[in-house]
Amino acid sequence: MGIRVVLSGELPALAGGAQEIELEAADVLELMRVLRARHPALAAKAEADLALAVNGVIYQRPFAEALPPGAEVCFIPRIAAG
Amino acid sequence: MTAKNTYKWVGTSPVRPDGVDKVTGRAAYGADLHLPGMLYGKVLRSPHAHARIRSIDVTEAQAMPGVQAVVTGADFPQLASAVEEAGESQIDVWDLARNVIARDKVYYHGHPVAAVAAVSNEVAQAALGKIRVDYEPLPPVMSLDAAIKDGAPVLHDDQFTQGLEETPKQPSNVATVIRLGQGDLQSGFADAAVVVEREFTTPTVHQGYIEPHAVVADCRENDRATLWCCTQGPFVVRTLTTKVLGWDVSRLKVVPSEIGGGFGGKTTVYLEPLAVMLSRKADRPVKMVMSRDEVFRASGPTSASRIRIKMGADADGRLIAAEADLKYEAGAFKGSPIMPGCMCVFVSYQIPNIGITGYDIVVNKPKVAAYRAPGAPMAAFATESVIDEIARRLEMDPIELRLKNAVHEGVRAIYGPKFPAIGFVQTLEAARAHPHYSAPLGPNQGRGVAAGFWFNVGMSSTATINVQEDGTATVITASPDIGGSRASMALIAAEELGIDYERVNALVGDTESAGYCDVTGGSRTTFATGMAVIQAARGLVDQLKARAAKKWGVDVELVEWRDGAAVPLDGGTQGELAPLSFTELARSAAHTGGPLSSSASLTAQGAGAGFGVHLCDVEIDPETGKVDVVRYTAIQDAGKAVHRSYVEGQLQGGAVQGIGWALNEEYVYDDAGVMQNAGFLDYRMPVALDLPMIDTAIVEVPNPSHPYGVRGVGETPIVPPLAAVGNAVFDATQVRFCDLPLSPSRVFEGLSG
Repeated sequence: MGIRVVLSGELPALAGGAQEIELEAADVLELMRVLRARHPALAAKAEADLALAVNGVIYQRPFAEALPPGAEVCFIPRIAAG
Repeated sequence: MTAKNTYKWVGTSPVRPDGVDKVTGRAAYGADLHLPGMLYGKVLRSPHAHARIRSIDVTEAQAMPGVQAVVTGADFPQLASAVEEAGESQIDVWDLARNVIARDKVYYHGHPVAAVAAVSNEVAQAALGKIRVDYEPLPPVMSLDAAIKDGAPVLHDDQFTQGLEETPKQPSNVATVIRLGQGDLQSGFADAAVVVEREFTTPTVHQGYIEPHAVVADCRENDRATLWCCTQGPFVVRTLTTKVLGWDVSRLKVVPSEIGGGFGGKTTVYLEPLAVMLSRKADRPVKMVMSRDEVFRASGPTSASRIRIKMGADADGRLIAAEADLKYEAGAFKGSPIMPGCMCVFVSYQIPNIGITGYDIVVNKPKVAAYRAPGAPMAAFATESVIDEIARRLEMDPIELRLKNAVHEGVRAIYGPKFPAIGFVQTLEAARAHPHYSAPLGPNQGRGVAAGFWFNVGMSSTATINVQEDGTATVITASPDIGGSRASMALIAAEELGIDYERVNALVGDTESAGYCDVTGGSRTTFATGMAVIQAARGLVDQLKARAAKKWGVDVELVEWRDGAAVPLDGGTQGELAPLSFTELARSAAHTGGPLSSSASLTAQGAGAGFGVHLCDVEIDPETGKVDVVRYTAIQDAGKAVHRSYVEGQLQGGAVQGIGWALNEEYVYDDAGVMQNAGFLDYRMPVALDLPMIDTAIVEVPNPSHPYGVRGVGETPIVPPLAAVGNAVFDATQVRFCDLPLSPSRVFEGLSG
């Protein structure tokens, strides 16, 4: 079962207008490898300054976290706080 | 990590370990360090809000007896403008460097232009008067409206608005435009039975931490430096200071002092690079301490804002459309909290049709810094005021309206993901059930309710636990204790190790004796550093069990850790062996394999969002317009409160700061851009005599990503008060005040029509 990447805000413009991307990835490393190949602008933005939510759980600094089959992944701005 | 359900220490409120030191004056704050041969540093600050620097002549100052060093921007490296990872966030290091000390332009009244180190404060102060700066004054830009009007003076010739579809050809004071949205706004509003549209403004306000910025730098050691300072994060000070200096991080050691408040304002650097450079030039230690006046004029407050908001609901009270236009001041350099403002403005409610536009705008004021839930309080002021008005139009109970629309697990947030387990509904229900909500009101009194949200963050932390031979444990982290983290870390270690809280000593280490920790900020320390303590403690328990197994000559699988002792399981030992306590194992550690110590490092993921609901009763003096808060209750989902009294304190402190924001606080500038109220007499923060006891109620909906269910608690409580107070004032007066602060003169004028 694939991974569903849901894009919002300015991000669809970095992925050819797509608001959702279906792909196969077992973990975040693989997810980023696929995105670098398919949507390099989105991958570059994500690696530069975005956090990741996997099924709603926020990974402020994602690295190699496992992605459960059917997971919904969202890129969101990294929150700096007080 | 495995979850835990029953607790001995977590959830209690033991005496705080730092309390006696603080009330007796023994605690050593940033300004309390004295080194032999130490010099005193002072900063020359710009008398103009906006000016070009033609030249700086320090000859006369340098020649003064007792002056040991003078620095200007020319002593610091030119850096490329680049957004880099720096501590907890990303910053443009060139903006940071120019904020620390001006180069070709000054961007706000109080902007550092030069610094002096001398044998006394008096000599240093006198030397500042001998520095000749030739300025070309420029017209200051002191408001959002002034910054975006046609023909406005542009602060930065190289700043072109980001986020537009086409790259602009002209520089602008608008640094960034952000757009978020979903659904169809037009049809949403067309279907609404009630639509409310209002514009709200909030002024520049300061965190108001009681301890001014203070630092001692000693740069005598072969081009290495040690820095003692009050900060929310020694590692972020190390990162930012070395970036401004152009140094490798390993050349700087940062030792955090006791800290007298930060609230986000001590997550960056101001004096630190200046002190290091002065110490390097003078070859002597240098102390620099800001005055309160300098703190106001030249450290980072939070953004003034202008928010236009329009919301529509159907006749049953379901919100169906919402539009917001948020403009936030960034101060002298880009980087207001506009993004979290946009993400938070409608985050608490399920609304199918949303349009949000945000603007990050530079003005000639000090560069803003983080302040508790940056960007969210102003956004919530707008949203929660309009929600209140919709409830009144529909003649609905305001909590009922919120419950009807509240987000819950599985609902998608406007910024993308679906919420995991959250406690907004439970918090609203707790507010509705609280006796405050149904208590009678007196004459000239009104009641307001408002909600607030904050993300909370995780980030990186390290913890080390060392076992002493007397059976005590020392917990070391580099998370400065601002809101009680030493007590929380000790409670967590005691819980995991099964020993008494009094036998755990929690310390704050420096950048060379403790492992990396991000700042104490983002409501992350009890969550993330606490998780590192849990991991370290569980690693230590494994060691203790292994030592006991070795002593008993049994397999470690046959040893259990129970109530602070290694206990042999019946299966292997047939009850012949007595348990070995933590103290017994500690005492014999040298003979069973060596000292007992355990460390853990992690990047904590899955921070749990926090929701709060506040109830506020005010009484209005119709003759003066003065607003008194007569009763206040803060209700919040903490996930799991580790130290209940400290959690209550966070709720109370956030509420008080938010009430000050609502009623009194604002930077007042003259036409030249000079702040007129840079002191606590004229910048009026609430004190104990101004307010009633702030009541609290802790809701506990566990965060599934933490073994105890902990969520951050420090930031959410400043989000609801602005609207809670505003809604209460409306309830008392039937006048909607959309501009803060609700000072007596403003309220009196409003009441007078």
